[in-house]
Amino acid sequence: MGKELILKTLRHEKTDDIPWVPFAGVHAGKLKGYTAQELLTDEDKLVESLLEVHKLYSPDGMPIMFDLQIEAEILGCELKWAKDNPPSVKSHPWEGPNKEIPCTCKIPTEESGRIPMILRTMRRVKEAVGEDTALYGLICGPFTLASHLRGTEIFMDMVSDPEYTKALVGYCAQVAIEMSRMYIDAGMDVIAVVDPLVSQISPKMIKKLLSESFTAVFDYIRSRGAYSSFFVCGNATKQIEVMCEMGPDGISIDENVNMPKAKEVTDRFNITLGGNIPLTTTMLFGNQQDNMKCVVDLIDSVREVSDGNFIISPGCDMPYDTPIENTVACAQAVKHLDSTRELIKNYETVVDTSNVEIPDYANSDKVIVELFLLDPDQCAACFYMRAAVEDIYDEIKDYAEYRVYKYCVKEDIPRYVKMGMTNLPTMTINGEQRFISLIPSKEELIAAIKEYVK
Amino acid sequence: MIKLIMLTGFLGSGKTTLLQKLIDEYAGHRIGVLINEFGAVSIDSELVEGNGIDMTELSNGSIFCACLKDKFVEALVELSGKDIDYLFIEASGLADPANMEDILKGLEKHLDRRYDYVHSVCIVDSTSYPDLIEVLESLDHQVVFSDIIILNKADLVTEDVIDSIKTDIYERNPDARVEEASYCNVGIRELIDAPSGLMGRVGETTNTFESRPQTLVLKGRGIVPIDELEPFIKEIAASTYRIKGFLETDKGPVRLDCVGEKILIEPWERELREAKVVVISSIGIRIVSVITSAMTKYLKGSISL
Repeated sequence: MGKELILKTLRHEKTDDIPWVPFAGVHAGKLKGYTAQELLTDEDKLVESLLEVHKLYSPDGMPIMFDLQIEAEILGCELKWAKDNPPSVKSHPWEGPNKEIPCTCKIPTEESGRIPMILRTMRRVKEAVGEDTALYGLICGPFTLASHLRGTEIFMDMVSDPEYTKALVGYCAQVAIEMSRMYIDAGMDVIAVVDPLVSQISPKMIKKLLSESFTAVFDYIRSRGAYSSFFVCGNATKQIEVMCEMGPDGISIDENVNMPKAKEVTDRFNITLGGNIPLTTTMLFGNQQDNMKCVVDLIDSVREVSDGNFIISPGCDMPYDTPIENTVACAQAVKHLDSTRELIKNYETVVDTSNVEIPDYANSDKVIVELFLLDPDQCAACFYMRAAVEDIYDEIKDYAEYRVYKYCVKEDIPRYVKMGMTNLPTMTINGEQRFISLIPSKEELIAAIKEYVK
Repeated sequence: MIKLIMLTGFLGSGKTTLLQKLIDEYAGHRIGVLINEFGAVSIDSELVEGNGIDMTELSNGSIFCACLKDKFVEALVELSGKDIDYLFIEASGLADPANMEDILKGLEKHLDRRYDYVHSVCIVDSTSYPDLIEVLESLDHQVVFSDIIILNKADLVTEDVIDSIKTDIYERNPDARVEEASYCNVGIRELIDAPSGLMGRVGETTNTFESRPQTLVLKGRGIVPIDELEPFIKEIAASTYRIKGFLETDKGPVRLDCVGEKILIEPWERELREAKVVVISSIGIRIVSVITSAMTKYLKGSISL
């Protein structure tokens, strides 16, 4: 079971498989056609999108909401919303002369800001898929939150007024603890303390001003029987060691850090390492082959250091427009490493397509629906695409027929090449690519097929 | 006019004990009580019970701090409409009453009946005063802006210490009336009925956000084994200013009341409303790690943060 696989890994126990956690934050909205703002403010849309992530990407663990501005918004920062990105903070209430520590009466509660909606979402997703999927509650790390409140002056404060910095970060740790409490009570298995800015601070300064606040948060999470993961972005190569010393159960890094080297450090502390499929070069702009190859190479390189204590995930929050098929390819590679290794070999081989016979669509009596899948038994998106056609077959069988091809069947591969398939799964109707990675609803699919009826 | 008496004093000095004595002493009068606690949970209101008392609680900060001042003012306005002769205010241990007279002056027009601010009584813990007065600005202001100062727990220190505390206090506040006591045993009625020594002492409160220490609440989950409670409290006490609250144990309900490393765990006869303990940290956020580390050894599952 996926959830158990994650929890075992975070307990540093031996597992047969490597767990997979796609960080579908705003990208979840894309799956259902919602903007980032709609997704991050509307409970029903968020639940619907998250269940789609679960359906398409077969995650062992998944985040509920990837938005580091929730706490800042409650504490009075103004937000600037975007269609395809999480919001950003545009005002810092404690900047300049307002150099104070916010009142403890401002610490978020179950009633503050977007929290009621988030807690309801967490409970609904827990109910729907929480049995077999580890759910991640993401909170803003104390240092990044301090920077939201104080602005860039926080970097100067570290030098000119360390006591103030420490107190402000300590306050933000209190906020983090309260957020963790609410999220754990709402059923979250893992609390991810997301603090991208930590990579910008020297290890010496981290130890002096930040460590005890972070440690308090991780200790609190552990005392509640939940697991913690420390997410950082950017080149945190030098910081990994002090991050380990703070005592999280896991650390997650992005493509700026060399994974095998980081693994050597986390192994010394027996801490689980997660990461680091490159977000843009591979996930956003690469093709499926690139993504599969990336995951296979990543796993192989980490295994050269050691087995276990490892979670495969994107480097950070996936870009909104990440092609669905790329994420599907990553999932396929993690779940079926050896067969994927074979698949990539096939991709790289020159394929003889001379024997492939393309149907004569124009003169066929029936409309021809063709499904170009990876392995429908292994790839959830492929499974659902095939099911979509099977479910309506009785209604269309008088005027349409369907054929299924599998990329895992060697004889089928030349057809993929000849048909110019670049993204899988894809559904064609009379040879035209109509649904790429997206699973159509019953009505949509029937309507599309009817367009081709003579 | 409603006679207003303010009680101040650092955490654990004996404010609640004195408040109980005042309530007993003024039984038969119509009394209002306003309790201000630093933590999110009110513990002292459990301790102060009695018939015919109008009780108001303001938690989660000091009433003189900007974040609670508005609620404090609202409470004063509301209480001025009640049929009371006396209002006793127990300020939080970290309250800085420097601007009390200013507050009263500012709200005069909004009051049904005016307040006569007759006394501000500061209770000093003689055992900790010499150390803390150097550290806490709010403690200095409690001494300076009071007209009655009670050196409590005087039996626990030598005469030399009492003399040096008195010298220090007179340097800060030469007009104060200073009384020695243990368990707040002083002729409080006589002190309160004497003419006021407060004469327009107004200063700027130090209760800004920066002077607030970290406060946490421990929740009891079911029955706490008393054999583990003691070593648990011992382990965390050195990192706290104050621990107070109630827990349900295998030996029945208990009240905890610790000031620094002075630990009191005693049976509690009444039924508990809530099993909760407020911890005021003396080491900032690090207290969380100290507590969770102690929790791995003692009280597993029977207490949580």
